[in-house]
Amino acid sequence: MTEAEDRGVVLVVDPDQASSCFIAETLVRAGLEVVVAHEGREGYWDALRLRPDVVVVAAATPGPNSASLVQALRGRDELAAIPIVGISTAADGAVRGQLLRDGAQDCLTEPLHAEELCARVCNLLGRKRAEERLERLRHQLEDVVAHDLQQPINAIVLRTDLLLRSPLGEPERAQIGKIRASTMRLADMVSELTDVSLLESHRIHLIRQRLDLGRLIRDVIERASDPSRVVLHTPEHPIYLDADPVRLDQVFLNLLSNAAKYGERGAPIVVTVEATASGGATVEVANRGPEIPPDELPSLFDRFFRTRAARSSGVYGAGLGLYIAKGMVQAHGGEISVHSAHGETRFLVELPIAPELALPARSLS
Amino acid sequence: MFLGARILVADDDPELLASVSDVLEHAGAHVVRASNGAELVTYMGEQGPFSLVITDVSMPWMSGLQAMHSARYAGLATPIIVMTGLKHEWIPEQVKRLGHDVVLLHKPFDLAQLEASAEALVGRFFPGHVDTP
Repeated sequence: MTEAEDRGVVLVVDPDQASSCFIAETLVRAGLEVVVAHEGREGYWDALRLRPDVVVVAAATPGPNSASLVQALRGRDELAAIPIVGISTAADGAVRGQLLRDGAQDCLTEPLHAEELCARVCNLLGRKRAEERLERLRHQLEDVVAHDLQQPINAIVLRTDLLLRSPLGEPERAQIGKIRASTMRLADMVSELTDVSLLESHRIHLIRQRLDLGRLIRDVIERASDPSRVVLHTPEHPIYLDADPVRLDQVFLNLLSNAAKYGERGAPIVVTVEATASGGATVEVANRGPEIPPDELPSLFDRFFRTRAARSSGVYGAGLGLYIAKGMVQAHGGEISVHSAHGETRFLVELPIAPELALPARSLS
Repeated sequence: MFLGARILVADDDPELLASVSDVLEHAGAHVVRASNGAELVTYMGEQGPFSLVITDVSMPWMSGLQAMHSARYAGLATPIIVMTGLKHEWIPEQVKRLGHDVVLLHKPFDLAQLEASAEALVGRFFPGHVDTP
């Protein structure tokens, strides 16, 4: 941890010269490092650049106002955990309410008192530091689990493979095959849990490269459980995206596998790849078969959710596949949705051409 | 399959080290086993040259990647298989920086994956060492 991280960095967004000086001087005297911005947009960019430990926002911030600045900060995953303190006049009860609803943790009323200001900012800083320590411990634990569980699993897989090459009777071969299948299932569970923990702690880092989406989909189909069932519609011209091939592969393999498992047996699975006008692409995976009941659709991408049909099907699943797929698509700046009606279920994956780097213009304009 | 090939295998997990080594010995390779990063570096210097190095990433004393980067820096062009159960984004990047003749194998891998990776690298580097049936 650097010295600046130890001291804590506070971003103060306040248009008023006298007020911002008072806040800055007070917090500096308390041992904190302070950066001042006088306008909402400047504050937003400072927050992105500096990743402060606490943001203090005056309700009177001009341009994009304080409420929209709070919304904008809360709208960025990487800034969402930064505590925000709003400041307003005593009469602005409605404004304070709005700031708190938008995601500010605390509010102060003017005239400010140095001791109260310090106490409230330092409380939030202390809580943030404790959360960071917990988060680091959690990451360490997850790394240990992911790493240490894979070792014995890998040893079992190699030993069973070696055993399967030796002269064996059919009953023994069948038993060892079952041990191997169970071991691979265990490996998948560990892998899924690792992905979930990476997604939830925002540690999924995509290794993007320029790829031909149609080619990637064709590769996935070749490795699907029953490629002959899949009908692929893809444009003649390649669609190039800046994306992580390993993660997209994982998403589409999951969708194809679900379509094969839960769709009508033997019915075709139709995959349609299209370019969008904005330079991105959509991929639809459609299968005929029992519809997903409307009451289950909203929860379909939830963690550990399994439909009643899936639970009674005897098909193994932890209910993490679609949750991970959604996380991976969103990490690409895209969206995944499902429609199920008239004996057909369609999953639609929308992928942008490039990562979303733009300002959330709606909330700041 | 690997008759005459000398392979250095490094992993701090004794079971996995034994499994990978047994599999390779079964295929005809001469295997030297290292149980941490320090042994990996020592054996590379003292017991080489090797046709192939297979190493885990996280190991005590020195990570497999640190050891391999040092080896590359010292001019050693031996092919490498990096095994890992971790999914950190920096691992593929670091592996890529090791240059040519490097394969990243995600744990858990099966016998066919291990053999295919090893065969591709050993065959390319020491064609004479591969005894294809």
